Amino acid sequence: MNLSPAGEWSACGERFYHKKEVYSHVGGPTPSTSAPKHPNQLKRMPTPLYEYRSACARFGGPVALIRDETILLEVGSTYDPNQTIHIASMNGEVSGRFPWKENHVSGSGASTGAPKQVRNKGKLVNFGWTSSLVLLCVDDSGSVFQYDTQGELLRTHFEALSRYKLGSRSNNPFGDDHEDGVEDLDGGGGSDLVVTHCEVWDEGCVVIAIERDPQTGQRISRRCFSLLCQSGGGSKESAHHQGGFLQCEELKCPGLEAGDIHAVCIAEPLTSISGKLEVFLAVGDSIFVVDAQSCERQSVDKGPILLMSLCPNGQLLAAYAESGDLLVVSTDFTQFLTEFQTSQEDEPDQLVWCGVDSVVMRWEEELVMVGPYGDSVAYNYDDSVILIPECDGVRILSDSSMEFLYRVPDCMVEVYRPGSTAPGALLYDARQHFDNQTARADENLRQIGEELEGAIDTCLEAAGYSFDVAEQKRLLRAASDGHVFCPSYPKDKFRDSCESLRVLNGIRDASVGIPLTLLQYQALTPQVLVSRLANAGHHLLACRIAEYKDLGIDRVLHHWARQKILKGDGTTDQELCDSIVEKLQRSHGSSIASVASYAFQRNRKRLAAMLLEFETRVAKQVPLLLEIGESQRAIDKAIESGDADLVYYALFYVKQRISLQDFLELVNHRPQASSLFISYCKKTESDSLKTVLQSMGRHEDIASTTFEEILQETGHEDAAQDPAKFAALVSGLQRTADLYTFTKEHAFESRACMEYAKLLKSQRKLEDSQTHTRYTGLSVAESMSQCVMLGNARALQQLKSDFKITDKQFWYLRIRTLAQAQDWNALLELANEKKSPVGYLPFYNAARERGAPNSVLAQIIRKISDARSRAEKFAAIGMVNEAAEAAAATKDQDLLTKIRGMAGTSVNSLASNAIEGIRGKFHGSG
Amino acid sequence: MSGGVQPSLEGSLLPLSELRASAQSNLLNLIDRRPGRKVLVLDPKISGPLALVANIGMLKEHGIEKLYHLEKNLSVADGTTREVVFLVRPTIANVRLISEQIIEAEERSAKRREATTIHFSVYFTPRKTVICERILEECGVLGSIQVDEFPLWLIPFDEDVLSLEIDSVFSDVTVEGDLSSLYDVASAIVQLQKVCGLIPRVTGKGACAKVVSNLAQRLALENDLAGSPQPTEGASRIHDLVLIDRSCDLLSPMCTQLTYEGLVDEILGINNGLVEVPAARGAPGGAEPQQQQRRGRRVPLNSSDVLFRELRDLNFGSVGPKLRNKTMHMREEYQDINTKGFSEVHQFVKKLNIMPVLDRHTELASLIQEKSAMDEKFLRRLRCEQDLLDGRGVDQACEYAEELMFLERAPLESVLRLVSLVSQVNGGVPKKHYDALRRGILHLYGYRSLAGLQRVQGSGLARRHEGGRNAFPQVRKAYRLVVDEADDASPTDISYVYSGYAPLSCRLVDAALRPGGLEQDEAARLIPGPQFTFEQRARGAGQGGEGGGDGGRRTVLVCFIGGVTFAEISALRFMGSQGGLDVNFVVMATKLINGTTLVKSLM
Repeated sequence: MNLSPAGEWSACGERFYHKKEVYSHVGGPTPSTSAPKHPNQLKRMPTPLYEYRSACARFGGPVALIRDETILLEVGSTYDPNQTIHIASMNGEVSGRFPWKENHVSGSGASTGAPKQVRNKGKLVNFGWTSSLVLLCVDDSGSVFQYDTQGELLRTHFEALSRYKLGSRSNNPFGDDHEDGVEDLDGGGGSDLVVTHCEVWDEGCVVIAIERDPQTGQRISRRCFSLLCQSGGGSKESAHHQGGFLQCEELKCPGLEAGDIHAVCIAEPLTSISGKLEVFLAVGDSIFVVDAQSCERQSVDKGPILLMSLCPNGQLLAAYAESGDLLVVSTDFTQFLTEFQTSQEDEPDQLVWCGVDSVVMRWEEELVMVGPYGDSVAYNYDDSVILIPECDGVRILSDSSMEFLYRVPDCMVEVYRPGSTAPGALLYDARQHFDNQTARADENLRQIGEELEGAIDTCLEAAGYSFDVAEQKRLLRAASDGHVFCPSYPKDKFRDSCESLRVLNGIRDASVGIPLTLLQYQALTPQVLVSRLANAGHHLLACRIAEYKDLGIDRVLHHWARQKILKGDGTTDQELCDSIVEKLQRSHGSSIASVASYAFQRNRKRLAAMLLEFETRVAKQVPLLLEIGESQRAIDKAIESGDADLVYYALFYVKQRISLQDFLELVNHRPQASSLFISYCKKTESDSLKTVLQSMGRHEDIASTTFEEILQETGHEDAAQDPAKFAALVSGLQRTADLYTFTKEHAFESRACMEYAKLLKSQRKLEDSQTHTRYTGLSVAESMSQCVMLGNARALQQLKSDFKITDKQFWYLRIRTLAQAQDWNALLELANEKKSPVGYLPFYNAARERGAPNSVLAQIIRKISDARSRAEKFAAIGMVNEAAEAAAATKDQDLLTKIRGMAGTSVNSLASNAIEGIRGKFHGSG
Repeated sequence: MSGGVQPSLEGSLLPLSELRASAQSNLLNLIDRRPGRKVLVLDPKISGPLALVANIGMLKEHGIEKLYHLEKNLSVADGTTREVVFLVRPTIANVRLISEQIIEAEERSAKRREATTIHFSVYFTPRKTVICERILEECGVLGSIQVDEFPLWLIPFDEDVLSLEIDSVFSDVTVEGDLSSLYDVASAIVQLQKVCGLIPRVTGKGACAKVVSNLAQRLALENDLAGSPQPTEGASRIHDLVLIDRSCDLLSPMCTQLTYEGLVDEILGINNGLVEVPAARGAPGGAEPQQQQRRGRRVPLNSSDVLFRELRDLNFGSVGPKLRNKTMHMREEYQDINTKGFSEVHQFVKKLNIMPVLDRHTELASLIQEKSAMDEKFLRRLRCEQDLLDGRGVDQACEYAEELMFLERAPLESVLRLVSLVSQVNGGVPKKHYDALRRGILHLYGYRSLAGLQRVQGSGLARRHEGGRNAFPQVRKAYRLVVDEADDASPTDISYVYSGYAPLSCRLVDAALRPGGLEQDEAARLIPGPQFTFEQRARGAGQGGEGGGDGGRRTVLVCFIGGVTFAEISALRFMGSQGGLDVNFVVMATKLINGTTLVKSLM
């Protein structure tokens, strides 16, 4: 029989609280002063904790520790002049450490090429974690340093407040912070700002500074700023290698006359009344609530407040007054809920909320928890502890262990409270009885009756809150027993609980050290948990959880690959590449290019190139190839992709960096690239077009380009008006003709250009002889038509012979011209001139189309030699007699009938008689 | 006029109305990015296609007050405008014009010392390109404007017709060797696959088809289409993709289309689903305003018009009888009306709705009839074309071309179209005619036509016969391109769309759908260009999806790279309606073309 967990509970008023040890053997020996020779040597968190200042992250995140300089050094231990900051996870394992006091070289890392400047860090005012697990350290000069959980410096902002100094040259409170991470040294001037207080929250920090006159050192004013840490480009998860930018905003601040600041606490925008960031300042005898617009004074009867803490839901404020009273006030200061007189003389070291309804105070060796109705519980400790508030409880980190103090949730109370007869307890007992093979199991189940569903809920919920795996199993078994008798119970609920528990047990394991409760896990979300695990180096677990929760493992794999590159100094490029590619290729759609880009940043160019070979997304591959200087491969890849845009990108990138000669050499061997480049040059009328074509030996293109150029430069109008332009056009055409002779196949084009020049000259001559007529701009045929119209037979003949117009073409042209002009006499004249080489049908068609009178048409039809079409045409214009005569000549019976039909009834009898006559003759002979 | 222009798309096999709706909301989101009243400047090339996606009323609701076409010396800044939005194709010429506009406006406002300047947004469709941004940068305006893209890849013209409406594809690819537009085609296919799932079987013919299929495959890989959820079987699923490079069949567009829709396009021209009916044939009644009378009426032609749906694919010869039948039927019913009951009268009145449509098509058909079957020149041209297809009359055709030029001075495109037809059936224009024709063209249309002539040559449409074997007779035999005893009125073969000639492109599609696809089609080797077939499968796609045809018909997407004619679309519809293949076709093209517009795009 197991002991009931209720035995460990302590009652506080009507509620139960439970303090559960999660990890033991947390702390290690005091670190020696020398830098660790071997990484394994100092894996444990330094102790004793009371010698250290601490900053703890929420959601079971790491704790950062720095030795408190105000505490005297014990005899025998050595002083650490570097003031190392240790970062440890909840299981006491140190994940990183870095020296605070070290001359800092700005522009560190491979990413910035800024000139290096050596600066000293000031005194550490405070430090703390943002929600993306970036450690913000603020020194008294207002410089902000961002570190990751491994102690790697991410980003530095020197004197982030300098622009706000009085008399500062760039006194622009609305301007953004410099985004290059390093402030100008001379950005300040004017007064001195000395940071006195700093408080870090999820998204940044609030800094309070005293402004002093640089000459006299006199305090001028007090000012308050909010520094927001925006993650640069990436999301929360990518903050690992991408510290955020800072955005600075000045808040209102109570003046120096109000008194000294005793305590600062921050109301986050999500929970504050105004929905914006609010800061609670305990100044003098009062509390001030300040934001960017206002500074409201709230008077508190009990006099100076020394410590303050805001409830996780932001609705209540706990404050410890100098008088020794603990006050709990609503944040709008309308309700005073609890007043508790402590028995201690000194003020507590820490004051935090445990969940949303009780407050915990820490003195050196005693913890006092005060419940909502003024009840209290005290816990005693031998060694020093740190309190870490969470949304549903408080973590207690001591030299030797990590405990979690929380209010026992109702579901657990229902199940475990001695003598409970609630359905949950009955179900739980039923299972116990079943295991012991007693009949009471059934009895219990009957007793639950209708409330079975609620009972299952209770057991499942309780399992979620339990830290003990064996207990979880018992509760789940009980729930599952109930499930058998309750078929309507949703299956998903059961499965979800089990899934969450699996994840929670996995991360609570001492080797991982993220002791989340179910509520915390739900608030943190699995996505963030996975990225935190990856950041902490638990890639396998992160991958498993991501796959288990169907979240996609790309981010984890990328983080892993980056770590591999970061730490893989000893391994060869090939080994690294193989192992990275092997893993990354398992996850489809993950981009190797970003890993390659990281390798390049880390000065592993060869590795980057090798990795890029495996990137399937050419659009990501090409820019990086260009960046690492593999221009040829980049261009080839771009061509292979078929995306002209990418080819252009690569070409322009390369062209800017090498000489035109080298560039052309590069492009010449790649026909697709060169035709794209030529197409670009053509469309942009680039000067280099001809150079490019020349270098490629594309003579016909040079010729055609020249041709188009010449035509564009000189329109017909210009050529007609301006003799100089005319001459230029003619000589240009001759030049083009020469260019076309470079290639045998373009003899036709060459001749055409020559002919064009000849035409222009002939036209000029014609214009000279006949003033008031324009020829320039007309084609050969149009010029000839004009000659026909003007009756200039000599010029017409000249053009015909000059341009070798064939007889047929010549006749067609004249027929069309005359018909168009409706000059029927001239047309008939032409028809009678001599035997037409094109026959007389064209005459007929053209004339008829242009509406020639029947008399003209008849004359033309008579000239048509083919009797059959003569008959048809006569018929078409209604001359039936003639049609019949012509038809007779064909001796075609059908045609005759047809014409008779065409003649119809409208035709006079004469005509039909004629037809009959002819038909008769025809019959007679046939 | 709003709304009526767009086809309903209700009956489409693919989720085209969703495609259109998302394009609409994309556009409106882009417009809404800037507050207040705006001026919209459109690329003339996309304003037509855009009307198939959005309408004026919609734009007005979102603050567009004025609408201009982008052109030289356009002045949008009239002093009151604060927001100007450009929506253009990403061409260099467009970007140049835009830069001029912006610079001019900035100079003017600087001169007048205006406090507020105009804000410019430039949206490229379907995507912004490096070149365009580079030129904006060179002109010094990139910094002060907002640049983004409007990803309108495919414009739905009808339930089964999609077009990219990029008319330069054929000339870019064949003449300039610039394959960039093929990337757009591939992107469009991938966009469709994002909605319809990975297309399991891809087959095609021609160099461009190969490039597009490679690109589409790669883009699909990059977008991880194989891993993304596939639509359930049956619902908006495409089973086959057939890619046809226009260069493999340049012959068909050169022939005169003889379907109703095709002939309307040949004679009046259909642009963006609209045909402009000349005003001379005036609309009945004086209800329409004078202005529109003069400009002619624009009539939408799509399958939302029930009668047109019935007529569009018929050989024009059978349109007349069909219309006559309809009218007769209506009249008979009208005469019987006295003997009918109340509900039957109601039924009849409902049918009267079709009267205006019937009237419209009777008018349109008689107009077409006049310009085709009753026109000597048209008939002569048709005879000439059919002789050529039969393998005779090359010399006569060349002489006819000469006559077209010198006697009739026909438009250059019309002449080149005939010359190209000769070249296609004869493996090149005979030497003796070729240079004479070229010289003739220069003499008649001016030497400045030389560049256009060179481009027509470069595109492969027309070339000189340089000896060697002419493959066309073999192709004609292998694919039964010429069918003699065709009954155009009740056709049994697609050859009815050209009255006796079956378009090669559609025969290739037919071959592509047989087992093995085009890769194993022996006859296709007679045509230059690679042929290929491959299968791709989504990860986790059930084997049961094989063939997709268990019970249902397969949906085949046919993509014409370089354009498609209406007659070809009709032929595909006919193939789909015949039992043999058991497929439904959806046609996708870079542009809806006919021979004349194709030649024009090269000029």
